[in-house]
Amino acid sequence: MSGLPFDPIGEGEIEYKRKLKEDRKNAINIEIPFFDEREKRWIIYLFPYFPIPQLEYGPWDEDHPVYSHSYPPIGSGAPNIGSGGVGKEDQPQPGPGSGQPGTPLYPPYGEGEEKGGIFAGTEPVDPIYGYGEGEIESELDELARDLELEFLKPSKKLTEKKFKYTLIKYSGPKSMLDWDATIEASIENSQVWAKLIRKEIEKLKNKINNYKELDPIKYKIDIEILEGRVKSLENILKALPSEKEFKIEIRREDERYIGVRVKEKSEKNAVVIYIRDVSGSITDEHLKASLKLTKYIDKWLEKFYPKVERVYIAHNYDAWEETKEGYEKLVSGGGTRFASAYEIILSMFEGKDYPRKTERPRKINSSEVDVYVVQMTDGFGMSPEEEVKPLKRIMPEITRFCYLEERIDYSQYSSEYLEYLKQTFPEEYNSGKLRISILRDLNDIRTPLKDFFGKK
Amino acid sequence: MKPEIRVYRKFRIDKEWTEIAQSISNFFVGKYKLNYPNIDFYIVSPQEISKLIATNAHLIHPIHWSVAQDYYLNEFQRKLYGTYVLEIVGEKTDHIKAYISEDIADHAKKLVIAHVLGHAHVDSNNKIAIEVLEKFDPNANVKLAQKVYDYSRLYGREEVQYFIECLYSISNLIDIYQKEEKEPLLVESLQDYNISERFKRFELENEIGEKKEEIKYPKRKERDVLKVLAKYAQLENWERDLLEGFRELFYRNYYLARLKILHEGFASLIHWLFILDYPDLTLDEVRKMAIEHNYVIYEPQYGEEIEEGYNPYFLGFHLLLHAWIKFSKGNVGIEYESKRYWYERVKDLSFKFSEIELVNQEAWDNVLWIVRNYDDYNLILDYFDEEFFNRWGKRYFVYESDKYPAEKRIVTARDFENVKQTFMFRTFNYGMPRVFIPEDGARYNSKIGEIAELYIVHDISEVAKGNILPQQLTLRKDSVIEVLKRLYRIWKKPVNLETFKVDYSSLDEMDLIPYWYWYYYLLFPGSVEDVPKPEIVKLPIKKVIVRFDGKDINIIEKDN
Repeated sequence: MSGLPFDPIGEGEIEYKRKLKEDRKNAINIEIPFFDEREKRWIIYLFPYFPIPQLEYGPWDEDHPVYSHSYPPIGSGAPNIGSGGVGKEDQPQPGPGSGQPGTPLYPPYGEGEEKGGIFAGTEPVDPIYGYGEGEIESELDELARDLELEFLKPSKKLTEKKFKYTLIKYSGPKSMLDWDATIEASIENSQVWAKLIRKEIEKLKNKINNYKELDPIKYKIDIEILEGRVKSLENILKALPSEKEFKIEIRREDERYIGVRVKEKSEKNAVVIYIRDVSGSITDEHLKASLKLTKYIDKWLEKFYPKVERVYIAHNYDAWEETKEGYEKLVSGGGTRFASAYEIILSMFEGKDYPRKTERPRKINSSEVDVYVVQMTDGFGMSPEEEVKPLKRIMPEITRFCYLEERIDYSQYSSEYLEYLKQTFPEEYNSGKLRISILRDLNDIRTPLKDFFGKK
Repeated sequence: MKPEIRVYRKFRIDKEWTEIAQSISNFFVGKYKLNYPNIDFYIVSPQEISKLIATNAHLIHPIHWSVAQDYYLNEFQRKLYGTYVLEIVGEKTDHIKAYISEDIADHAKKLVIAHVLGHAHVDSNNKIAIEVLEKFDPNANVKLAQKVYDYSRLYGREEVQYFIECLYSISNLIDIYQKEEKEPLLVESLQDYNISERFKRFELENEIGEKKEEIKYPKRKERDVLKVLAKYAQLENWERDLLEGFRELFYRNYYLARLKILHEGFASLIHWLFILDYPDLTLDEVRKMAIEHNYVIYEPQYGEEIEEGYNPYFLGFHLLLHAWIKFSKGNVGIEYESKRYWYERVKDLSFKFSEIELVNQEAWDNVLWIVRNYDDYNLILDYFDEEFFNRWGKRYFVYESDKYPAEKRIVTARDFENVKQTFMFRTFNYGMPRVFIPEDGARYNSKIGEIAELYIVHDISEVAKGNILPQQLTLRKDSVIEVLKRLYRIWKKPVNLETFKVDYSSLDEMDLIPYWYWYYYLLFPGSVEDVPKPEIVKLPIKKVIVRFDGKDINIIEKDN
């Protein structure tokens, strides 16, 4: 099998991945239902698929009275594999099971058991290949070109020392003695020593033979001296451990110590703090819009920082830190106070505990990381003077503060709080540290992105 | 001569499994008269199996991005569901190659081996399969793959990839029912008659003249569009070379679609017999295999939950079993068929195993005869009868999608005739539309008589006979447009397609509400059997010609 001259899938894979990158918008999501046994429910996975068009039966007019729209079938030019290929949605088809004429089959996957659906409570999960995120990424590239977004410059570096215990030294403190290395060394040294001595003995014996051949009487004294040295060397050899017996004797020169190699690594990291207003005045549409924006900002920051830490804060009258899953499911209700959210950020900088739904309190060191704060509200809070008080204390430690006001059904004028922000932080506003954006159309992403990350 | 069976695992013969497979094969060849060449089994990883599925079990396949896509889809489904494709039968040369997934249990492997023997028998005995497989050069695929590789280096990768995509999108415009008939010249057939020399010469000149013209452009009606394209389209050499190669590949691929139910049904019958009749099985193995068998041929009964589509394993298995019972009981022949009602024919519907005598050779020979001569369409036509329907077929219904509410599918019929008709519609031409090029269809809009525009007609002769409702045969407009664009890439001159649409504008709204709606909600709420058969709603039809001239799409409506 593996001995093919060339691999059709491996070669086609390059083409397919290129198509996925460029042509994603034309793909159709195939829904594959899968039963998740942990959570005891059906989940639908989406697979991006590029169908190859063929002549097929179906409604000539898309909006004609009898037939509804249907998606093309799976199978590219080869109907004999997979599901058999025969079967169009709009044609009469055979199926097994109960039901009399007039009873509906379930709607594809969906509306719950009450309406005849089999897969109750299904929710789409993120598709594979990061399809949903990839879409945002490719869109962001276009947006960045259109809106002339500014490239972010990471300003703070976190230098980290990394210790690697890889060196081997001949001296050091006793606690760093590497036993394995020393034992190895002792065995090796003894063997090397023995070899050297044996060589020396051979040399000496050769010399003695030479003397004997030339004139043994003349060189008698020399021979005696040399033989004495040979004897002494042989005595030393006996004292050394032979190759067969493993007698290990550790001497000073055998000792090996572990040495430390220190590396300094600098990282450019960022923290994004999303403050989301979930008070009673916020509608579901507001919530959707703000959730959409967070995903885009996430992706934009990821382009410039290798590591982006995300903090989710929700507030009505009180504020708390949310988990990521909780953040996406939030429902609105209650009064409004911005200051409570700012206080949480303050306690993060100071290292204090605060109301939260996460496991541990977070600590942010603003000298090491860039801190971005994104606040999304409709702008109806308590009196602005009180709200801004904690913000004044935070402001010097933040790299950028983005304030989004979602206003659709209300007046065209901006809120009192927005004006007050401009007055209290004029320097920050002019230098581009404080960014303000007003959202009129909730489906619009271009304006907030341009206001927050465009040129100032 | 008994066929030799070998089982390989990582390029080495696995002695233990070879012995097991050989003894299973010997059993079926001896007792059930199965007939096939030598078989090599390869026990491979599930990834390799999804690779084979993506390439239609060709070891070497022309490179195209859609192959990789199919591979990823299969792998994705495999990861979700676990192993769900156990086996695949590969190309047949002098011996058959079959691949088995390695991560299944031993009893399942034995069952799969028996299952594959069934497939091998169909492949090497069925008339249609032999016809196609003998035509096909086993090395053609390798050559084609090499060509695609070379041409994409010569003429650009994207160019070649798009050309192949165009070919894939017209891959169903071949004529799987074609018969190559070489008509003798009239003069040749008149050799024995006493006819004057002058007349003979005159006839000969005429016929040769016609043949010469046919070299320039096709003169007869032709259903195989790809054949006409390969002969007459203005193609470059590499394009024509690829087109001819892929046409052969499509013929090879589509034959399986015609035999899906028969193939899987017979293979299931063989592994079922293996469980029942094979002597060297322990009781535990039989129990486990029976469970596996139930998974394979599962189809919900009346009273269970509704499912879309149908299981070809269930249908094929029971159709063949039904035929076997019929033959072994002697329930065939004119005397039997002339009894009017099904309940006169069969009184006891409960199935007993004793109805089949396992060594009743005559009955079994008849089953083998069916396997040799039938395809899915004929199998349903002959053996999906009322006895079958009342015994096993009552679980089937017909469903259609409807407007109220959108994307909802509704059961429209449960009676025998409707169910059988939809099955036959699904299996004829694998449920795909048929088209043809009429006489002079390749020189449309030209006065001189040279190759010009292409004119294709959508075949709707069945509507005129009243067998099929017109709304069942309309084509999807968007698919037509996309296909015509790709056809233009190959033909390089304007392309036309004649089809039709249902003229709803001349109807009242009340006519459009489907008949079953009225019957069910207004007239006969309750029992189904009391409902009289509805009349077919005849809808007015308008002829439509879609034309693509390289830039724009024009849709011209014509009154009949």
